Amino acid sequence: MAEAHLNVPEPLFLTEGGQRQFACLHRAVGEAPSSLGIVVCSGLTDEHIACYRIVYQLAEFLAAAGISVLRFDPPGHGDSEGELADATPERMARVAGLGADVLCERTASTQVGFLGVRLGCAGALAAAQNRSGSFCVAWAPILSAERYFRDLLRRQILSDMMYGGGRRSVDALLTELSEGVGGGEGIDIGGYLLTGSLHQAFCASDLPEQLARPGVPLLVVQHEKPTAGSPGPLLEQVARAVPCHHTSNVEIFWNFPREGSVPRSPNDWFEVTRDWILERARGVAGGR
Amino acid sequence: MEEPIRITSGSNELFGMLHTPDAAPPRATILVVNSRVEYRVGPHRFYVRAARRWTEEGFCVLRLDHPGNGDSPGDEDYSHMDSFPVEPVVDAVDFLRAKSGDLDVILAGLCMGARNALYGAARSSHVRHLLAFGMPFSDATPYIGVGTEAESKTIGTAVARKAMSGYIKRMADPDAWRRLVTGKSDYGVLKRILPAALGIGRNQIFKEPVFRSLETLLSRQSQILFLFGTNDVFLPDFQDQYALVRRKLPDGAAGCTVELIPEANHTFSRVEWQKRAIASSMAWLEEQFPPCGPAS
Repeated sequence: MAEAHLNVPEPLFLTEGGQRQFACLHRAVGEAPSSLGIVVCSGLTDEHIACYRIVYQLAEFLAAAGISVLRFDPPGHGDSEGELADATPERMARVAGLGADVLCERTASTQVGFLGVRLGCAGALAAAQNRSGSFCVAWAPILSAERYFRDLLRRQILSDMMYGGGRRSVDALLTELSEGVGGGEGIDIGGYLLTGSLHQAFCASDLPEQLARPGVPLLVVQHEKPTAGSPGPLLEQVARAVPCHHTSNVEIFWNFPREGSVPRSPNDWFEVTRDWILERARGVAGGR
Repeated sequence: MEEPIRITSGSNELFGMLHTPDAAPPRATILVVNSRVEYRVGPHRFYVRAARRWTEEGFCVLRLDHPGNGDSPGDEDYSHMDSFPVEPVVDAVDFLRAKSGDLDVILAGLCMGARNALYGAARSSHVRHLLAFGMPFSDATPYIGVGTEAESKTIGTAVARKAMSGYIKRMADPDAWRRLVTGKSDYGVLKRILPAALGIGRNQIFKEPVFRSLETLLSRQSQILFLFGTNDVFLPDFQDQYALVRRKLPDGAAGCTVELIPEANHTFSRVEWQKRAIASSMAWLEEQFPPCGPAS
């Protein structure tokens, strides 16, 4: 997609829990910038890397529509400090809250919403619920963290077998996680150490239930294709409960589609998100 | 300390993350170059971990985003992993030398990032050190499944065999036969893959631009560390071709060191493999740049 190149994003660091978290501010452009701003909580592990440019393009797109955007690298990801274990929904929500404060201080934003991508949706929703007058957009939320992590562990087992490691079962790995075997350092899932506490933090939250009763205006944008973390029945359950935009015409962009290629931007999702957020500004949408 | 910076390259203001050691002055500077796929953090965040470790040991490190990649502006759509322009690398080398008072610049990268680093090193007359993690020596196109490249006429045996196995699997697919019979198959690719897979023309499979760049770099008495995981899909080609060409390189490639990381794969996709690769690179850096000053 052609990028706007209208302003230069401003890099900055947010300090939370004694760790510096990298963030980037995209100021709204145009003569009448909206009073709305949005903080983006991206996905975790390699999904963060796969989505990075797409989140950048989304920020440019929304800024060009008059919406200021702040995106940040979750703890243990990108240029932020920490490890994967630090990227709990609660911590992501706190970092996102700091990002919202920055938006209000440095831009014309008076009302800030939160957009989550994949596992980042849990942090985005919690941040929105913590902030008065806020709203939330959930992009391809992981509706079952338990299934999602099982799938990651299954892939790790396959990788172990391919590279001469021992054969273990997913259940055995889950037991290791819950019992903190090996000093609780965690299980390697593609270059990130999954700890029992992080696993528990995501699995404990019932995201479909929270999305059904969000307490803030909410838009869910999801792919029609069921995935390991978002099986068909849960997709349907969420679609019945909240305003959902379902698409099948975008590429699954949170994984590298094949080695050596880069995911394409989900332009349709960009437009739906922009229109819904601008409706907030006009006060047209009733919200749920 | 880590600070975001921008450097000018042509009409672009490229984004990078600069790591500077607490204890000044730095021993040397390291420019980390990425491939098209990952941005400045590298595959599985390898570059971030490496940069932080190197900085602890007194090196200044810049992780750079190419145009249209990471946080750098541009809407470039690179059709091939080898198509990154070399100018940003050259400009970043100049930037680091100007900023550090002409300290040595080491170029580093993984996979195609290593190739981009090599091409940049060959073009920057001041560069005499290269840290190449899992660098494909041959054309990776059939393996990575992206486009074609005009300059690439040959591919390596291991890569070709992997591609051939894909063709063999498709022999049961009626559509594949239909494409073959109706002339819709890419016969050019088949023509390239088959001889290489059979090991014919082994002297021809070394990628020409890689050879030329190595030749240029080694003619400056440069030092190069090739670091591979023993499970790297590109390792067999490297071992095959490096043995063939090293005597053709200046000084018999005496400046080159090869290190293998047991069990590791191409992208060092486990924390433990990353730690071992970084430790190995650190040992090499210690040799090249001992704390009292550069050795060469």
